Amino acid sequence: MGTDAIWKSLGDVFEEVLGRRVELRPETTAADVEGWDSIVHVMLVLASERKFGIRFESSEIANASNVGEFVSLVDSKLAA
Amino acid sequence: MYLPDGFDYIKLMGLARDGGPDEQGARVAVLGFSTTQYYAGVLKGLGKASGFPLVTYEPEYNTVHQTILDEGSPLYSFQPDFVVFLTAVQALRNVLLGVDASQRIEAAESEAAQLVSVVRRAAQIPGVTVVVNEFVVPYERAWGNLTGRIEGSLPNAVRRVNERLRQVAAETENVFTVDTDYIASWVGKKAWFDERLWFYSKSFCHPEALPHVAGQALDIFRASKGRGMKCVALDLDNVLWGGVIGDDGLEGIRLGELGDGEAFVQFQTWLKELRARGVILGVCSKNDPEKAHEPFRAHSDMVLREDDISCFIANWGDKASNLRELASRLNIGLDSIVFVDDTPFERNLVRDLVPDVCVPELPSDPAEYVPYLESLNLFETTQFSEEDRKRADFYRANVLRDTEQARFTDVSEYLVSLEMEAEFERFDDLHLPRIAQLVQRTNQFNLTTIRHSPAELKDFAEDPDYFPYYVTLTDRFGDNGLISVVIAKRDGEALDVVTWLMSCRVISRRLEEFVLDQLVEVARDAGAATLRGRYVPTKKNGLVAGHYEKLGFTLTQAHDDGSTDWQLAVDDYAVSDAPIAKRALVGH
Repeated sequence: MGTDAIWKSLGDVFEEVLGRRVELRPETTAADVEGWDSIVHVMLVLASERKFGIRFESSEIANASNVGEFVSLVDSKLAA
Repeated sequence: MYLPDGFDYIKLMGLARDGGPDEQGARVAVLGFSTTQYYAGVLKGLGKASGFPLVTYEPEYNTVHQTILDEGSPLYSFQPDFVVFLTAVQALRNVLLGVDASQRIEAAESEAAQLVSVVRRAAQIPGVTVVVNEFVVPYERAWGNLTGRIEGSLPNAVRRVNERLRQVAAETENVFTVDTDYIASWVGKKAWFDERLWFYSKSFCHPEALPHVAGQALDIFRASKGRGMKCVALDLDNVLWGGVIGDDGLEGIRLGELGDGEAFVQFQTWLKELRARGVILGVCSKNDPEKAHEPFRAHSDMVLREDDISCFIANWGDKASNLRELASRLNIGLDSIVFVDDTPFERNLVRDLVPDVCVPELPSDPAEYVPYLESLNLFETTQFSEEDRKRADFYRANVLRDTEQARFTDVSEYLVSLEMEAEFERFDDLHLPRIAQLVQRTNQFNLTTIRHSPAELKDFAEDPDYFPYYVTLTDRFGDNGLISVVIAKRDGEALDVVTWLMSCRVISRRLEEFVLDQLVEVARDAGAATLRGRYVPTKKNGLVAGHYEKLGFTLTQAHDDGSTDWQLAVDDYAVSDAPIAKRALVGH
């Protein structure tokens, strides 16, 4: 799966969890998206696991500082 | 509970979030030794999706004791109908593992005592029903396969706490526990426990498992409000046996050792156990009536026999009409029927035309019937009494009675032929459980629909200002059990009928006239000049809107909310000619 496909799928994950489309950019953080609180954060992580068939380690759940980093993390897991 | 596919926790939390601020519904306080938000969201979503709307209140994480012990906390002003305690074995295990195994049972007892005390306190909130999640037995087992034999092992210490929780539930009428370990095992403990989520967000399970566990609480809510399922309406071909009886004949249907026949035996055996527990079995089949009965009479591998079926409808009519007919013959609501049919066409027809009926999406493989239907926990119950054991027989006798009635042209002649005898007695301890059950469950023949708690009912029994009576009825077809309750309260020169209700299985028997005869007697003995009654309309009790008028009461006031007040002068009352003899209690 290329990075473009990951961005697209991640958009679907956000829509599923938040109930609406959200514009995602590499520099987007939780503070930029209404409703992205700690509860929703865990849901986004778990929904991504389900979507991409990957598993994050405990240390990775809170690690990414923005969406761009998160996409790289997903990408590296898919490549592994 | 049954929900169509696609309702995972994300969807359910979305449903919960979409509600406005002025939502209505039963009030649920979710108190957690874990994060509560995921659970509360899923619970609310389930309620919304299944027609049991909820409003939730969640205090801060891990403030259970403070919330309960502080009488000024928002919990009490919230006035919950339900309180749910979310336990977390992840928190308990740290406490238990913190002491030596030799002291662990003692530690478990002490943890249990603390929890029991807050549960008991919550149970004192007026009108509340308390649901406690038992602890999931942890997967850590230091002694390997020997662990079960080590008294102080972690799993055994946790089991001890669960025993104490079940004990308090057994002793307290309005406390129920959820067998969370069963749910975790069903989901799979490997999928249930996600330690990352406990460490990061204090979630007691993976949220994918939440619909299963929150669904249990909702099932208990429903059951406690008398909104549980009462009857399974069964299709026959490819449901109770493989093949089509009309085409394949008695020798050709698959049942027993043949092919997938064993799956149908398993399903029938499962149904038989439900019947013994008080669930009514009905048949709703498109079939030649004679042929439909044949396997029940003549197939040696049939587990269910004709007398297990309380109402048997087999004809070529449409299933929607037949289900309505079944509901009317059994005198139960359509919303208390589960319809089991292997044909998608019939299921969809019923969903469209009788949406109140619960229609699970039956799997195509009969070997999956039992595991699938069991997973829905359709027949949750909050109590089990002798009355439940006999219920299916009561309903069957009723249908027989009605068949007999068809032979009489004159109803009163028929009623006389029933040779009815009734008891009318003041509440006693022996009958309180059944009285409480009837008070919880009766929706149609119920004048005021006040759900007196078991504790209140017990108080009435001992209060000289209250006149609480139960009524039993027998006839030549058998015992109908305890089927009516009437509670009056002294108010000066009058007796107010606070509650008057009757099971629908004895409707049109003129029993209410008999009861009024007795009630007038009670009023005279108490020196009361008038009997006063009230009708409070609900969605389900339209049946008794004219109750007091029919009995000769005079309307004194009609309120804006549709409720009406009635009264009857005791001195002018002439005893009815209802053909029911009063039977004295043995030993009185």
